Amino acid sequence: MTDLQKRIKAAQQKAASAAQTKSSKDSSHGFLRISIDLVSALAVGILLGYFIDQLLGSKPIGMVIGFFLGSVSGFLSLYRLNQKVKKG
Amino acid sequence: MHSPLHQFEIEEIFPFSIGGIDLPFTNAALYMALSALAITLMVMLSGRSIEKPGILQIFVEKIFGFIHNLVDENIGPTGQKYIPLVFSLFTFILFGNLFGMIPYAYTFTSQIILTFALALVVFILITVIGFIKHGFHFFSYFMPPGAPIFMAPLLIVIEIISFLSRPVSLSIRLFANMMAGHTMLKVFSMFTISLGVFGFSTIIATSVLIGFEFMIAFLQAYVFSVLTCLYLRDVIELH
Repeated sequence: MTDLQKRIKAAQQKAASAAQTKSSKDSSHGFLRISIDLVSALAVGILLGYFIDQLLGSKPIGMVIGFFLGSVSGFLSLYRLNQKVKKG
Repeated sequence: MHSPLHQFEIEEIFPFSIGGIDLPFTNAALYMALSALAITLMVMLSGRSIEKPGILQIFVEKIFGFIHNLVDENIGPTGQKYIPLVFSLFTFILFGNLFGMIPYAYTFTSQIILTFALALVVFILITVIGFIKHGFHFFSYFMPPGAPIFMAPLLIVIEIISFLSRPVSLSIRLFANMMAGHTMLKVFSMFTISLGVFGFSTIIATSVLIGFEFMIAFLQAYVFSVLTCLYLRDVIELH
């Protein structure tokens, strides 16, 4: 039983140290996300603009604005990922 | 010879309908049921012995420990209650990807509607959790802290687009990786036939690609669960 207690203590210490070095491994998968994040934000922006156009009947304007907002949103997520990788 | 995309075709195994809605049992549904059954059996049949764990128990405990670490690292100590969700998502996607690597089997994770449904579950969950945890204060998620107030109309729209693009990117990533990998494998193995005597060179390339494809199968299941954890943390911590 002492063996079990020893192992529990070791696991608790490991958990405590893991909490300190939290988010150090975040960057390992980060670069896999970039391309699809960029494209999907653009696609969502355009689709949102398209549906607003359908709703209001203002055909090209909503889609154009949606395109720009979507691309800004995509680059923003890219920028945030970069900040996270730099920090971690 | 079939086309490289023939492997993604859905075939009816036996027809079935409820109240005029057509719900046939297809080959995709068969492999979904198989992988759900395999996961359930794997977890249920693994022993609960402390002194002498069997090989299956060690396997299940390793996967569980892996998910436990993942949730601990990415959500923090308050994230313990999300372990069942992340574990189910991870094992379901992993088994789907690995069942797809069996010859003649169907890869259900290469269907965008399935990956989109999985991503939508995560999306609806993070929205609901955000509202439960923070109430109407959750809307402050869409306004980055420290930004000047006159920028709010622009920033809020951009943040909403970025929030809405999460399920899209989550589903497209898994679907595109699985579909591209399997199509590439099929194309390379077709080269083996058309090259005749020199086909051995593509056999070498294909066997390397199969190993690569196994890596993708694990990696995509891992990425899906990591992103689920990250989105959950974003919503729980709110900035």
